[in-house]
Amino acid sequence: MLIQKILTTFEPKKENLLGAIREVNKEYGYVSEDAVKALSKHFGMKPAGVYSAASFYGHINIKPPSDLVIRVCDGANCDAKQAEQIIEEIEYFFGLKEGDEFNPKVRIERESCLGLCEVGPVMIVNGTVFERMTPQRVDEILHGYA
Amino acid sequence: MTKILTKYWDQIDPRDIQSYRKKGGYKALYKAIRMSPAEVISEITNSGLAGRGGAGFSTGGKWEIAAKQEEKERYFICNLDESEPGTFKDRMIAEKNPHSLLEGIAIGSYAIGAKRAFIYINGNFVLARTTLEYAIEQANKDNFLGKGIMGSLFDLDVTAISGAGAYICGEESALINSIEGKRGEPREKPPFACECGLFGKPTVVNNAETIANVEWILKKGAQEYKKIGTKGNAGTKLFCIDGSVKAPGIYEVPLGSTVKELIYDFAGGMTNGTDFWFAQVGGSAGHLVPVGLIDEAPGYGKNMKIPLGSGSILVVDKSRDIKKLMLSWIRFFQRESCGKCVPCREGTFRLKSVIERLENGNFNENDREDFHKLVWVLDNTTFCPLGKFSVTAIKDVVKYKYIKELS
Repeated sequence: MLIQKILTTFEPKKENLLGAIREVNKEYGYVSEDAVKALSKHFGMKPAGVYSAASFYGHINIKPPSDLVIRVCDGANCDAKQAEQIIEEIEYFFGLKEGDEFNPKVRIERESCLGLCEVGPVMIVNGTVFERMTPQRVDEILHGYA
Repeated sequence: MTKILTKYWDQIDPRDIQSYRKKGGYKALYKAIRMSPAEVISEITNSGLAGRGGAGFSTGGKWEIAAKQEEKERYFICNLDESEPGTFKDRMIAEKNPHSLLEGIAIGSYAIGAKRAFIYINGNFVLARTTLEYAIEQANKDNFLGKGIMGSLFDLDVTAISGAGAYICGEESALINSIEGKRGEPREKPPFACECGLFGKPTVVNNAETIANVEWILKKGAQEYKKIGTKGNAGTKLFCIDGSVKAPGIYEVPLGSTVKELIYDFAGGMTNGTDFWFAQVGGSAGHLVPVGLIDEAPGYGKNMKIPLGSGSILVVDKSRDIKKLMLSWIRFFQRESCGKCVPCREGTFRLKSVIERLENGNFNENDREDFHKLVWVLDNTTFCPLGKFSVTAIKDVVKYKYIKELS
């Protein structure tokens, strides 16, 4: 029901598709098969077309996301400011490697560039941005989530 | 020193259109719509303004091609999908002075005859998006956008669209595909976007920094603009300087300034106790500048020794591990390769594993051969420039012999 409510805010024009996908992703955490069908009906496209667009982008999930998603910027600039040590620290905290899908609850990802170089390195925990990170602060912050 | 883009950054309130108008805002648009579109285009062409996204194509030239097309429906797109590592200039423009962007977009749309304009914003830039949306609303209300702009017959509808985390969408044809609701993969060229772009219509895609220059040029004139910078590289440029410098940040500098000036006069010089090794100009896709080239100025054009790229400078000192840095570059490109063409999709992946072995000390003779083959393939055979960019810096590492295993 709710998905129809989201769709009514978007005119069925091609240029609104990405916005609608983003909105669905924001609301449900991911774009499900049912959501793809609803989107394709609304925009008058084939489901495959909607799915191919949705699966392309890094910010759009096509599977239910983990409860805790931690992203760290490892661009060349943040990399110079201990980003690598921060990732190691997070990996150590959860006993989980970056990019692994073994733990359904937690996922650690690398990402770049977030355009936040002047306040880097940055760590993003479930959408909350932590600026000017240090490896020492990792433990303290993650305890608040774990 | 003349400031064009950053002059009013801290004097105006980005959420208040009146504070922008008090500094002479929207006067250039008023002037533009009383000129013919051809006059506006020739003014921009004469100024020598070049695309600030990295390619350095003449902005006026692009507009002229689009304006010449027979199709009556045209589009104007502001490319704010900035995601080159180390670059944050466009985000700052959108956050500090959004109306200068809107004014530039309106002038550009008028010049090429577009009634619809889009701003494609990087999905990570939340503040930039809300600031711009608020600015669009205000400008619509005050009739600087919308129907019958300032009493003329010119209509313009501006829409902000957010990307969803894909570096390749900064490439103009991929960006157009993304707006059309497709996968953000690049298109075959030619035809170029200015002939056949969004929905098959002529489309001008300009970088946000380019657009922010437009209103100043119209207000002060092309001749004034040409006086700044050097012959062939007119105007100022925003540089994001980061790394081992005392004052990292964003600086507006006339083109023609050397790397040495940028590092020592603007960014305060090297941090204490560090030794300059090289600088990387233009983000992760940029060339390396060793000590021998430090007195050269980065710029646009074929005969410049240092291509300017997006205008970010990463200063690297001798304590930095070059292998780790290489891994950071290739990881980025492997992650962002869109997967459309095999050389880039597989090449970046294979090159990453080779560099991983180089980094952890398991590099052997076969890897060395593979490394050079992969670099060649990425450099020469990929569909779009992303593959080529992924090895620009790595090729320089080989050229300057920073790693003895590779030579």
